[in-house]
Amino acid sequence: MLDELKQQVRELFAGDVGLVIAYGRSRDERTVPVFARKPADADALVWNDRCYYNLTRYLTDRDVMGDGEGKIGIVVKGCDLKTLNVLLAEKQVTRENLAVVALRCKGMKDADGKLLAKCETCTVADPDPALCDCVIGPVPQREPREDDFADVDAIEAMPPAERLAHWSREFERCLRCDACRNICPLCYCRECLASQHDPRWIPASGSATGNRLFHLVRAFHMAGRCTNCGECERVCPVGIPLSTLMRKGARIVRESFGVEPGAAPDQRSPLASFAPNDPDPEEVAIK
Amino acid sequence: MIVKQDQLNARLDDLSKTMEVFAPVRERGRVYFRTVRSSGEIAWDYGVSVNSIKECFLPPRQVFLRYTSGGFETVPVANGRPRLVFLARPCDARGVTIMDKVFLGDRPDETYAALRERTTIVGLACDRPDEHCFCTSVGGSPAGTEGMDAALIPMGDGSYDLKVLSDKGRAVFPDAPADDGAIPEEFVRKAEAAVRRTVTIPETLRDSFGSDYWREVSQSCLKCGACAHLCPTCHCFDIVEEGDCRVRCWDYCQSDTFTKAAAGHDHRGAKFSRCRQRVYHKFDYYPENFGIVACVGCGRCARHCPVNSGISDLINGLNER
Repeated sequence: MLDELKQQVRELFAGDVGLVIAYGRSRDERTVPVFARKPADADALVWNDRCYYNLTRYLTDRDVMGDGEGKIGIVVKGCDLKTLNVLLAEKQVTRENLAVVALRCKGMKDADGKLLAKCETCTVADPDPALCDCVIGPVPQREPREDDFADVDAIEAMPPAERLAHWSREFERCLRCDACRNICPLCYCRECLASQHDPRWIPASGSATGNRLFHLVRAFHMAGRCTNCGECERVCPVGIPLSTLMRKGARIVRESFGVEPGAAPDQRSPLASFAPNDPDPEEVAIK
Repeated sequence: MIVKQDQLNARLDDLSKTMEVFAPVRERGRVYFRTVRSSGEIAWDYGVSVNSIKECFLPPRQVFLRYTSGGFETVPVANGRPRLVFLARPCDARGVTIMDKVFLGDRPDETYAALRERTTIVGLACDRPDEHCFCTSVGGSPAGTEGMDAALIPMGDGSYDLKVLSDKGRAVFPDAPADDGAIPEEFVRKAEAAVRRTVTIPETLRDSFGSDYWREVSQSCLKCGACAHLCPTCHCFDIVEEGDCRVRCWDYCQSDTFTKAAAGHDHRGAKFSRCRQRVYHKFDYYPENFGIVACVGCGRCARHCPVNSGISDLINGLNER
């Protein structure tokens, strides 16, 4: 499978692709995002159960994309394709400028070797070929379990005061390092509200108010867009369960509008579009 | 002097009546330095905590002054109780001495100096480095005592060898003998051998300023502050107006706003230049200014980097060029 991937990437360079974003290995043998710029770079690519990165994040990174790279090749998993669809729908990337190499995936593991939660419920391990330039690898034999939203339910079952106390405790640890925001492929705003100096909408320092506001604003911006790639939670140095927050928003949007973010490249976010059959606000029951 | 676990517990519980105690605590499976009220909360078996003890001296948020209808009033350093940082690893304790160079130099920082003055640091020699630790490459040691007022060396049987190293340490452990000799050589040898990673700072670092290397290795960087916020020696701060307060808070050199100047100009706009800045500040500018590398090899930047980078790998990669 890896040989096929390497071959595919080499062939991209034979065409009009100038940069391929893929998985590679660091000096200390960790799996890292790599940026291949010539056929020989393909030799160092890897594919393993630590390729958890959602590389679509780099498609809007102006430091990487800045130099007129020509066409961009990108290696994705089925879950990353959902994010790519959102980026396409939001017109942040142009499909014609991309060569999408999709990998069939058996699931990614965390540092302890445990399958990631999002992989347990994954239904897109075999990527839709219609969305990709090519799909590589054997069809994975997997039986995903249904996402029961148990983590979200547990919090919804709390009375409001307890819920507030729960999240305040979690956010109290927040360092405001911005890792969650900066790894998010859909947090591509050129100037983030949380970074603005004048006016200072959100306190810059780590404080109860500032931290809560920061995460609340992010949760609202993500609802209906987040594809649950889980990268925010994975990178949080202090282990804030951000996926729970994101999935809460996702469930509200699904129940209210019947929309799964990233299902198709032309699907607009329900919170950024209007449809005559949209429910009225009072019809949307938010717990 | 050999002390047993229960003796230490009792002493700590006693001290916490008069001192504010910061110690490693396990929260949701990770260890952080937090204020504790009793010895029972402490994670004695920790490796390297997520946060470093720098926040005891340079708090993430600190109110300098409050505006009033007539002007403003300054806010004194809150809570004048003496403080104890308990079980700091040698890397973290040494990190404080590195920050001292900046904050206690020709023009001492009042707040930092006040917090430093009333804080006692009791260290814990390190017998559990992980694959990211490289203290021995940057002048440190898992058995080092720099920055500590007293040190505890785990004997492996639940007891500790206590060394009192300063008057502050003496005040905390008045019963310990005056001179208790050096740290057992056997412990030092074993502990240093356990630090497996080596980092070699190239002599030609300064010549590499214009190298393409920085563009290459910074590509995956997210420009987040995980490395800087967790680093025991990164001390850059911002002073901001928040509501009716003027606040000093942590800042980080990878941030989009770090070098943003009036009229929107950013003299360090490109990602590679920020990544390079962090390396140079620690390994070139700091040695030039203070004669010491501003890195203690705790490995936090590598351990917590969202894209599995880290300063150790950045430096070693430079050697391969």
